[in-house]
Amino acid sequence: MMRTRTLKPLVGALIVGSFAASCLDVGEDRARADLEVGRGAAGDVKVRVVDGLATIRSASDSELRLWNSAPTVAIELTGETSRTLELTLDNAMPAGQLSGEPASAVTVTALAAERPTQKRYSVELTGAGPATLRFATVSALDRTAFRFAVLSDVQEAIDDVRDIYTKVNDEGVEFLLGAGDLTQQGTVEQLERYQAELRSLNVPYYTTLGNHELGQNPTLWHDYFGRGNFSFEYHAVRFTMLDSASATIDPMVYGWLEGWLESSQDGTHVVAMHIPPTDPIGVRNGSFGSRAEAAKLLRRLAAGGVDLTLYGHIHSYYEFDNGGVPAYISGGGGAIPERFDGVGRHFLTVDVHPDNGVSSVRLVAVDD
Amino acid sequence: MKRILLCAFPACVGLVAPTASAQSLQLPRTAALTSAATASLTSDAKESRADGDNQDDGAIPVTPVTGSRPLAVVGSIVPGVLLHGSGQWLLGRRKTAHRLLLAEAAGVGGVLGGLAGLAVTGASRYLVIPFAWATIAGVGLFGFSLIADIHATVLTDEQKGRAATLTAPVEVSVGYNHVYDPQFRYRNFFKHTATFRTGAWAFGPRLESAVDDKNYRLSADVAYRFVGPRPDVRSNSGSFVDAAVTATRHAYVSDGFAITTVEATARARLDLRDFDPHLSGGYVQLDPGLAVSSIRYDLPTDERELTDLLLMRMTYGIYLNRPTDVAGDEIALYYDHRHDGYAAGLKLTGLGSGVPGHFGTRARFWPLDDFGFSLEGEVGSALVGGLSLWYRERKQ
Repeated sequence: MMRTRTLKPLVGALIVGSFAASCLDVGEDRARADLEVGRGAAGDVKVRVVDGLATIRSASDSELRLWNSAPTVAIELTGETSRTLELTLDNAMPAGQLSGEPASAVTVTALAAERPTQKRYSVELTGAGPATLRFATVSALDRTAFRFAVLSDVQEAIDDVRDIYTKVNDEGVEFLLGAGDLTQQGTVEQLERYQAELRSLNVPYYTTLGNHELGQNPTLWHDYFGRGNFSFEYHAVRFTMLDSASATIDPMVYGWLEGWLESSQDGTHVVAMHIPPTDPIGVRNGSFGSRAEAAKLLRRLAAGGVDLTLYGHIHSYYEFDNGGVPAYISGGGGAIPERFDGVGRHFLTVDVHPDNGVSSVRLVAVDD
Repeated sequence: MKRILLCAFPACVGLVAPTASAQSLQLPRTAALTSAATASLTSDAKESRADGDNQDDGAIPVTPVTGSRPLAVVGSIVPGVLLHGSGQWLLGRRKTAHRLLLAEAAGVGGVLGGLAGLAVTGASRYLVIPFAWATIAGVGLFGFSLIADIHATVLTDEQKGRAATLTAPVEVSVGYNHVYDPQFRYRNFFKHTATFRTGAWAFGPRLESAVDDKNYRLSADVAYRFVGPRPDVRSNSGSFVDAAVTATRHAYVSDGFAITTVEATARARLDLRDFDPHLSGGYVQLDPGLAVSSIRYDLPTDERELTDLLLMRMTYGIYLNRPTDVAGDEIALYYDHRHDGYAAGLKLTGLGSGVPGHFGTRARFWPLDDFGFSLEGEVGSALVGGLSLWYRERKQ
């Protein structure tokens, strides 16, 4: 009897342990999906977006539609026959322009578009070899100061999000940075609704995902908004977006992060993710599941010379330091707010310079 | 010793009425399990000086089973998963069934109330502690009332174990832990623990040290026992209430940071025979607390930051059939809301990401009375599995 009673719990523990082992790499599927973003084909033309900084929304023999995740996007097209593609770039910088090279392989003609953040082009491929399209603003490489905004945690408040966009449009920002939880459950309908609402925003919205986007199909996000983990430069300031939607960073992504940190060791570097490594209210633990992993990440960010960390997830506003790096939590998109904090719907504006770092972070209240 | 062993057998159980010794400590009765966290012990729990000669076997009368046990076992699962106490009800132990159903209702109430409070307040920084505790305790009550019903239905009264009547003055262990955490290089640890008890006081140092990485966790724990078995005070019940203060230094040397934590916890165990005699052989334990941590980053600027941590550990344990004067064999399953340590918090893919702590199980056996072994396993951000060898010094 004793033996039987001893074994039963141990067998149970083994079953639970086996199940749990498969749950330790909860972000792995999404990290792997990142690697596939921007890869596809338009008919017999192979398409590859460099660094996955745009996702292919649709593609056919005559049409290619991308959703940009960064101000500068390079697209490699490989095909052996001549073809004309109608290229649509959504979520694009209003001042951006598309160029193609080599001239022997591609010709680009601008077409009329519906709104400031949409660009349309006729792309003629001669079939003379691979072609690279590059979308960028003329001043993208200038080392000048600029302003961007930060917004996250809209969720069920999508019906009122245009109030926020109206105010963002008045702030003179180059783009809006998102720290996740755009939707309530990440369904197809909700993701499409969010993109539809973005039509009223006059600047692009570069964002990673939050835990609310994991509701049904965790990689559905990639079809609509692209990578969860990515990094880009604008005016020589590096921006790194990390997928912390599962309260952890996938081990594979730590390897990518090392490269992004090295590339901006001496410059200005802004890092954003949804769930913060640490919650300023530690007893709440609206943060990473492991305090040790949080400390490991923050130590790497600090050692890598990161200048600013931006988070969502907690529906309030907090300003604090983590690992000595200035940190802001801004979950003011309208989702159920933290009560008694005196903070309502809001977004942040950040003034940044490639050489001088972050000069100001300002909270903009939406409901005065 | 011989008398206690004999009394674990059926001829004794249910026939020997409890008798109070001259030196016994009468404790208040409570029927509500929620009172367990604040020292709920019943009149059946008696304590006496360990060197006294009026040792009480503590047997409690039980109601004979009137229903079919196989049917009751099935009933404890279906519909028992929803209606806790179904197994006991089918055995004809209606009062026990009602108590378990009440515990389930209290658990559901705690969960719903806690979650509702968190939702309505948006997990407000000012109210998160009571609502989080209510939620976790509610889950614990729900789990306890389910498992206790199954446990008490599957086993006959004769098969149910008993708590130790005394605690050992000294317990030491050496062991090995394997830790699989995809975020860290370490895998293999040696661990050493010791507990020294004198009267109501206990001191417990503990060290876990990686052999394949520069990582160690050193802690020291001081506890005071208000009620319950001690090296010098015998108790027929395993129920106890302790207050403890623990200091921990966890150094991640090769990762460039260290976490120093000071915590205060209450440890309240309710031997279920004090709750209902038909549930004997099991216990529930609730360990709420708060901790403050200082994180030091190995950076040129020597960065440090303070944070706090909500603690709540809920355990359901089973005493196994070898009652002795000192700690006996037992198996326990627990949820620990900690997010530090090697196991840390569970990784989830959805809305609960980051919030839950980890689950664990622990089994300890004393096949040679003075020498024993234990097996441990935890599932959180990491998988932790370990084996320890134990030695204890018993009171002569």
